Parts: sequence; structure tokens; C-alpha cells
Amino acid sequence: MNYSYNSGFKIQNISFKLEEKVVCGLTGNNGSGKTTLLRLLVGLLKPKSGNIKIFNNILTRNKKELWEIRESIGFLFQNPDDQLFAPTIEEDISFGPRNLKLDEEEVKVRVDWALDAVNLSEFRTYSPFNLSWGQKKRAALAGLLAMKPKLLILDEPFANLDFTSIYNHLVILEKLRKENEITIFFTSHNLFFVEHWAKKMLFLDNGRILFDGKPHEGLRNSDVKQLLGSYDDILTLIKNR
Amino acid sequence: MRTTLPFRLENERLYLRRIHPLIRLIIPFILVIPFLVLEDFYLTITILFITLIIDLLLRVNFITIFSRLKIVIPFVFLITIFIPFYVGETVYYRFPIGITIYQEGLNLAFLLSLRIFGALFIFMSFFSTLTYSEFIGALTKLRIPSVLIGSLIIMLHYIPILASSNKKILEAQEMRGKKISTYWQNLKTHAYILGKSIVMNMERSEKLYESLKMRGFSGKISFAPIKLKASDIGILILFILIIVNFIFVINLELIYRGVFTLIMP
Ligand SMILES: Nc1ncnc2c1ncn2[C@@H]1O[C@H](COP(=O)(O)OP(=O)(O)OP(=O)(O)O)[C@@H](O)[C@H]1O
Ligand SMILES: [Mg+2]
Repeated sequence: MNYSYNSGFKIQNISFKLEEKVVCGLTGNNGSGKTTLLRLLVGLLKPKSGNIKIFNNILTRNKKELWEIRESIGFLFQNPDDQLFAPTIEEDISFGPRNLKLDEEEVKVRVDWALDAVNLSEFRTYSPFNLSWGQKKRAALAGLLAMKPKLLILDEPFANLDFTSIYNHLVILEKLRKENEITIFFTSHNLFFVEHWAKKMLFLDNGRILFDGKPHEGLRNSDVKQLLGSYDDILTLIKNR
Repeated sequence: MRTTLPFRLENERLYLRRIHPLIRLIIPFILVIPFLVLEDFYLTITILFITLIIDLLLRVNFITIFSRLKIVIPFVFLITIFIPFYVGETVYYRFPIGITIYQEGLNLAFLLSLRIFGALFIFMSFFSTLTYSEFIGALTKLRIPSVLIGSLIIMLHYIPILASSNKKILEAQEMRGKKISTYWQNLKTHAYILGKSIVMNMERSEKLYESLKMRGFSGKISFAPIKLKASDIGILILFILIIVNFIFVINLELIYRGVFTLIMP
């Protein structure tokens, strides 16, 4: 698959497979094209060449077919402000389920469940403006969970969260994964998650896949290591000041 | 942060909540249209008086409404300021430089400002009883095309964001010493902020639209349906009856004059 922005940035010759029910981590430096790749995956951008198959369906431009595929995908934006739009958290979360044409009872059940899952029940009537970043992030996630997706695509799900929130996030995601057998594809700068949570790792550099395989192997790969850098370099710099 | 939109917050309590949002959307129109169409000073006053009483009874916060109305004063002033110089025949005052103020124009300008403020006051009173989602829900019920409602939602969504993001940018600038710069530099930075926030918000609304699409947005937003009750219809009819009475049956002018002579014989 290929893609290029008119700014000149290109996604080049990308090809990979994602197995069902697996956690896959996508990493790479700032501007390496992670968000772009995710947007291609969910059909928000159209590849210049090549195609994308999700659950054996080729992503098309046909609106109806695209929605049929998207019904089972949850896409978490990097910035929750891009996602939350309704006057209240509750209303925002019920947006997806209503579009799934569920009846009001079921919508309510799902909203309650999703709010509970992300620990925001007491904030249900709050406006997104009155929430902290982490709470917004959780609210945005709840909006996806309420749709019970089979594939969760998360752009930086753990960025800017404290350890408790990360822990809670992971509890929810793992529970979902076990119960509903969902697939998770996430991006992160934090190698900790890629190493320990993901079963598969993709490393992106300047729009190209540099590594595709097991995380512990990836982190030992010399090219990857060189690009990533580490705390060691930073530590040396600080110590030598 | 409080949203800058004239809507009630979702968790704010209100007596009027039991009345269907659609009715609360229609009532201000019933009240406003007669006094905009009919040129009757007494009717205007009476309708404003009724709204004020409703506000008081239902504890609508009309202090905030008045403080919002302040914003439109310069505009109304601009619209009406020239009328007394051109309209009318009866001379009210003649300046030595040859400019004349006419009595009829003065009256017209006064009535016009009263009507504009009155209409805004009534709309704001009733709209402030609606929450944002009730408002959109009511519009949907009126079968307003979903494309229009969809764009309205996105537009309304960005008003508070624009306000707060402008604030954040300004704060960030202040941290870097915006206050100490000269007037012209200040003006320049304001222009930059404006440009930046327009671009930023356009980008953001594009992303917002994408995120809505991902969750199945097709231009139509569905809300938890609220049923119209018989009592709602009853209230609507009551309002219509009152207004019709004021226009055709009761002679308001007589009543006002009567009251006036009672107080000041
Ligand atoms: N809408 C756009 N139009 C043009 N160029 C873009 C657009 N969005 C991103 N780019 C460019 O594409 C490149 C990759 O951006 P992308 O957002 O995918 O990076 P990323 O890996 O997600 O980075 P980060 O870790 O900072 O989130 C960047 O060089 C960026 O300048
Ligand atoms: Mg990104």
C-alpha cells in the first residue's frame, strides 16, 4: 500500500498482516507516519495504490459498505478534543450505539456499562470541557467501547495518563479482549507497552516499515535501536553537564 | 468553564423541565411574532411583562440574560440612532446648525429598540430553559433538514472551544511577556491568534467530522425520544389563547390608562 500527503510525506510500500485477537503495537518516532497509517487503515484516507482488507472485506469507498466495516471498528483519536462533541459525556457515548440502531433500552445499558468500565459514572452529565485530559481520554474510549467493536485501533492510548489510569485502561482492555475476543492495534512511544503488552510489533520510520515481528526481537534490532535512542543517551547528557 | 452558549447546562435543575422541549422552543415565537407584526406599544409591554413574570415564577436567571443583552446594545444603537433625524414632521428639537430631531422618529426609534430588545429577551428566556441537546432534539422534531442541524451542531460545538482555545493561546502568550509589548505588536499578535485559531478550528472540525463518521454519522443525529404529552399541548394552546385574547378581545390601552390614572390621578 502507498500513500502520500501533498506536503510530500509518503507512506511507502507498506504491507503487513494482523492476526485476529492479537495485540499489536505500532511504534516509531514523531512524524514517522503512525497516525497516517491508522487513518489509512480505517478508510479516513484513501491509499494511492494497494488495498486494505479488514475481516476479509476490502475497504471500499462505498459509504454503506464502509459503515458496515466500521461498525466493528473502534478508532481512538490521538487528541480526545477531536472526538468529544456532545454537550455531555453521556450524550457523546450514546452517539455510536444510536447509530448502530440499537433501541433506547440497550443504548442506556451500554452507556451505563461503558461509563462504569472507564470509571466515569459520576461525571455522566458533565460537559467534556470540564474534564481533565485523562478523563477526556477515558470518555473518548467509552464512546468506542459502547459500540462493542471487534477491532480497536488506538492512537496513543496511554499518552499523558497517570499509572492508575493506565492500569485501569489496561484492565478494561484486557477484560474486553478475553470476553469478546477483540483485536487491538495501538500506537505508542512508550516501548514498555510495545515490549510487554503487544504480541507483535511494527516499527515505522519515515513512512516505511523497518521492522515487523516479535517485540523482544524488534527491540534488539540494531536499526530500530539506533533510531529509537534511549534514556542512556539522555542520562549521559545530564550527567556530563 | 461555563459554556458561552445561551443554553442551560445539562445538570442544572429547572421547574420547566417537565414541559416538552419542542413546546419550549415554540412558545417564544408565539410571544414574539404578534408584537413584531402588530405595531402596538401596549401589546409589546404586556408580552414583555408576561415573560418577566414567567421568568420570575420559574426562576429563570434573567440577570444573566440581561448581561448578555448588553452585548447587542451598540448594534441596536447603530440601527436606530439616525431614525429621529429623518423620519417624521413634528419638530422635537432643532439644533442651531440646521439638524432637526423629529417627534415621530424618536417614537419609532424607541419602539424599534424596545421590540428588538424585547424579542431577544423573550428568545433568550425560553432558550435558556433548553439544554443544548433538547434544543437540537426539538429542531429534529420540527423536521428541519438533518444537514442543517448537523452543521449547526458542529458550529455550536466550536463556539466555546474557540473561546477557550483563544484564552489558552492568550495565556500562553502572556507567560512569554505579551503584556510588555507595544500597542502595534499587540495588534499583530491578535491578528496572528485569530488566523491561527481559524485554521486550527477548521482542522479540528475536519477531525471531529471524521470521528463522527467513524461512529456512524450520516448527517442525522438521533436523540433519546421524549413523548409529547397532552399537558404539553394544553400549555401551548393556553399561550395561544392568551395572546389572541390580548390582540382581539381585551383593550389593553384602556387598562393601562386606567391603572395609570389610579396611581397618578
Ligand atoms: N493532513 C496532513 N497533510 C499533510 N501532511 C501531513 C498531514 N498530517 C500529517 N502530515 C505529515 O505526515 C507525517 C507523519 O505524520 P503522522 O501524524 O502520521 O506522524 P506520527 O507518527 O503519528 O507522529 P506522532 O508520534 O507525533 O503522533 C508528518 O511529517 C506530518 O507533517
Ligand atoms: Mg500521531
